[in-house]
Amino acid sequence: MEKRLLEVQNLKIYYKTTTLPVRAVDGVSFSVKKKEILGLAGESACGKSTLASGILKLIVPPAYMAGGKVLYRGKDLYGMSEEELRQIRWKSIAFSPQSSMNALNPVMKICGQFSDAIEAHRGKKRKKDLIKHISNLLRSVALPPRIAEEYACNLSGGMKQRVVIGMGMALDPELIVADEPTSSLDVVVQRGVLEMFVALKEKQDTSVMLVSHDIAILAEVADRIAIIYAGKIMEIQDVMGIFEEPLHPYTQALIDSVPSFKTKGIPRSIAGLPPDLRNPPSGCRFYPRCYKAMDICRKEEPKYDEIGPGKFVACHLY
Amino acid sequence: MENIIEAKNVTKKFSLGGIIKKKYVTAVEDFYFGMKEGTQKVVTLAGESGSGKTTIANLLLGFIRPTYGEIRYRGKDIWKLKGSEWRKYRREVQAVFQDPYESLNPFYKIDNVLLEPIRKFKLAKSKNEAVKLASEALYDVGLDASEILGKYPHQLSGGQRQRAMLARVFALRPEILLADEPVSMIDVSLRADILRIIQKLEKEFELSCLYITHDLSNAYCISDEIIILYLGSVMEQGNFETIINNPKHPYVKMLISAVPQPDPKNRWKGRVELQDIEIARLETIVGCKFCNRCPEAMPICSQKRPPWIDLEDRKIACHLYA
Repeated sequence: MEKRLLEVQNLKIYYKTTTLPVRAVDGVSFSVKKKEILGLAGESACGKSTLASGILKLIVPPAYMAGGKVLYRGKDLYGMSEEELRQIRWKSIAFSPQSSMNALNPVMKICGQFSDAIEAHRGKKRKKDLIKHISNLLRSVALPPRIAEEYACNLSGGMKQRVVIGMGMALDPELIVADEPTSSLDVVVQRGVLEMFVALKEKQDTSVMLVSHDIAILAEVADRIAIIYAGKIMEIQDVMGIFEEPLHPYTQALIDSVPSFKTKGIPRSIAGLPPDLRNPPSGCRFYPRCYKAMDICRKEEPKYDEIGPGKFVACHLY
Repeated sequence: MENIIEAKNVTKKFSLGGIIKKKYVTAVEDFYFGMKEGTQKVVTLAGESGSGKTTIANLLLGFIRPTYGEIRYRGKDIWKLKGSEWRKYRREVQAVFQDPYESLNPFYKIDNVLLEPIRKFKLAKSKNEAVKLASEALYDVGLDASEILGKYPHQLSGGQRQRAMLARVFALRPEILLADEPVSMIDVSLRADILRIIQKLEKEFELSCLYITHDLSNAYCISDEIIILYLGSVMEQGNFETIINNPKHPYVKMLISAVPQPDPKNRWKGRVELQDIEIARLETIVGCKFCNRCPEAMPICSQKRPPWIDLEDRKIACHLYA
């Protein structure tokens, strides 16, 4: 039995509005194993980013936790004190935010931002050791060590993104939650950044949760993929299963919407839009757009169940 | 056949300041491009960020002036066009940009972006006819006029806004469409719709399209030809399918191998070397611009600009094929 590093149980994160709450993450359960890359894919406005920040309890009002648990090594992060959480954040679970462009402090050199994080968790260090540590980190993300003396404004988008990922790795976390780490990068740099995650997994047994709207990049690096739609997980399988035998019609539709060099011609789009999460459709949330919708889909919400070893799906077809 | 629009050996340099000795960044260097009348094809202009794609779009649209070379519209330099010729050029060369929200004025209703050009180019005799024309154009892009007209940009979704911009192209029936990253701000699941509209425009109006993008897999769906830029210079140019299946330039090989494919059975093999592209840009490179990242570089590559070589099935700028 592979070890479970992180377990999310029935997590609900809502946004408060003047009317009904927006149910951005609505009863999500999954686990992240040790030494794996878990991909999380879905359209925009389906709760991907909310879920990613919710794992580390990094949600800010009007978002609030409406139920569920996030267990890290068996301990619930939502039941911890702020101090206990601080100890875990960055050191054990690191978060790399989506807008890494804005994640760096513009008036502080890169080395200062690194040493802030390192010293906050590991105490005061000798300057020489710090510089060595930072240089090694920068090298591991394929940046020259001289970057440490630069300000964020002197770096290109790809470099900033790599700096943020390098900072995430600074304390050898067991899990890195990366929210769209490559969405603003060129393809060659994107490949480099993704391969860095693979290298981390292989060399240091790090787990990575990779959130992306682009299922093609997950096909390249992920071990397992979770498909999220309208705040709910629709399917989780290993990467081969997702692409070879997708279970949920939404997964199939998502794969069909991705262009590939193999087939000339325009891919199929998914008709319609994701639902308003203040008032999601009853029954299955995907049924208004589903080409296999049955009568029961409208009335009853499908149960999220394991239908085969490691194959989880929420659909009435099974 | 006459070239409707042509870029003749265009170079654009941007000044970086400096009082005594001015510094320049060369955004586009010695660029040639021509589009003949009624050829009906989609040409992709691809490259990483900073390769000069958008500069070329701005040059072709007459937003900025080339430092050297000429942009010609039906044989005449666009910067020397007179009143009626200029209007004709403006009508025949239309553009769609990346962010539809930025191209729309938030204070005006969507009607404005459709009716204003119809009025300006005198495409309709009366107000009613203009509205009819606009409604037809909206129908062509899959929008319902009664739902769209009278609304402000913020009341529409991103996909609807981009379609409204394309509806304008339908209404004006230009010869050339310049699409600068038209789908990159649009949700993955809806991109196909926008691509389909561009394809429909191409087929119905025999229009040619210059599709500017960094996303090769989306471009591949609708394009016939591709031009690949690197730091302002063209590296390889030819039939899209030929180049995707058998890239010859080392840079193009690297670029194409890095495009993620939804096929977990054929994953990336090996690793790419990430290098400092920023530095390469600012340094004055005498030889090939790609030579410091090139795995197949030879001594000559750092000394001499590669010539523009005509191979059987493509054009390429690389010493390997000289």
